[in-house]
Amino acid sequence: MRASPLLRRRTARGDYDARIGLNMTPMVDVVMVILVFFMASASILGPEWLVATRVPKKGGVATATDAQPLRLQVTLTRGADGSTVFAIGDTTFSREAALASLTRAISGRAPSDVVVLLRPASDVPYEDVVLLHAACQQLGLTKVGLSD
Amino acid sequence: MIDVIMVLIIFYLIVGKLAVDQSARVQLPAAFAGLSETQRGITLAVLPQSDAPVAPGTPEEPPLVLLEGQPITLSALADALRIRMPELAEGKQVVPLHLRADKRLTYGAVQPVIEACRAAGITSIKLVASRDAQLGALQIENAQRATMGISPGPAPSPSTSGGTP
Repeated sequence: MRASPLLRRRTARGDYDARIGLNMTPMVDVVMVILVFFMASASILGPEWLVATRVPKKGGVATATDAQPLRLQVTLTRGADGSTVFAIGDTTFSREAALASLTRAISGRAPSDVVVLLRPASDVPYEDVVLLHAACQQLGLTKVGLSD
Repeated sequence: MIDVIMVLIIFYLIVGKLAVDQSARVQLPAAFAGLSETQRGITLAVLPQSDAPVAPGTPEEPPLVLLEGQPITLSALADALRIRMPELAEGKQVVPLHLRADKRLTYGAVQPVIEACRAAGITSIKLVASRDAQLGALQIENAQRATMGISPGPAPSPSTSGGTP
């Protein structure tokens, strides 16, 4: 015995099929997965800084400028206790005092008037080279280079 | 349901590709100042061959160098950079070079890479670092103490000198 279409009972399925318009449920699923993906990848990347350095050409870094720039040569060596020893001329300082010592070394000169050249020893952690670059960046020094 | 499964498949494809891309393994050094990323540059990643901690005293093995995610030898690096940056032949550099070197490396491991860049004619490199405000606060505090004529700040403790967690 078959019920005629006119006599069929109203069902939830029937109501659902009769709807016109966007089907929201799968779309919300998809969008949520994409959202979670972007949230996860964003937290993996994390915020980054870029610190600029120059690589002057081999042999002579003579730059012809009208004003005589202050040339600072910073050497990095590994101390006896394994920590890095920074030195500008005869003045040595530790990692913690990097910014303070650089500030003292440039002694109020304009940042554009200072040339910093780094000479790291090969057993110095790369992190300390970056730290010194960051200190120069903080002081607004743009002419920072790695010597060969 | 098919929609959801398809998106999941795409998700795992991308995540799988990220895991294979070894430049994601680089642990960036910390910096407290720098420039925000503005221009898309050529990425050069330098990282240790394995994540296993190296016993002290053993000689450091040469690092893994990746140019735009592809492993490359040091000897081929200068030529590869010249091909990617043709303007270097004219003595100028237009595209920035981003050096993502690992903080576990010594400068001696990174130096050959920088020398290769120098040989290729590159004049400017951007070192990529992770932002560390805490480190900056300590540095600035020490700098302020120094300008005020007070002794140069707290004694270095092993936890701060060894990098950031």
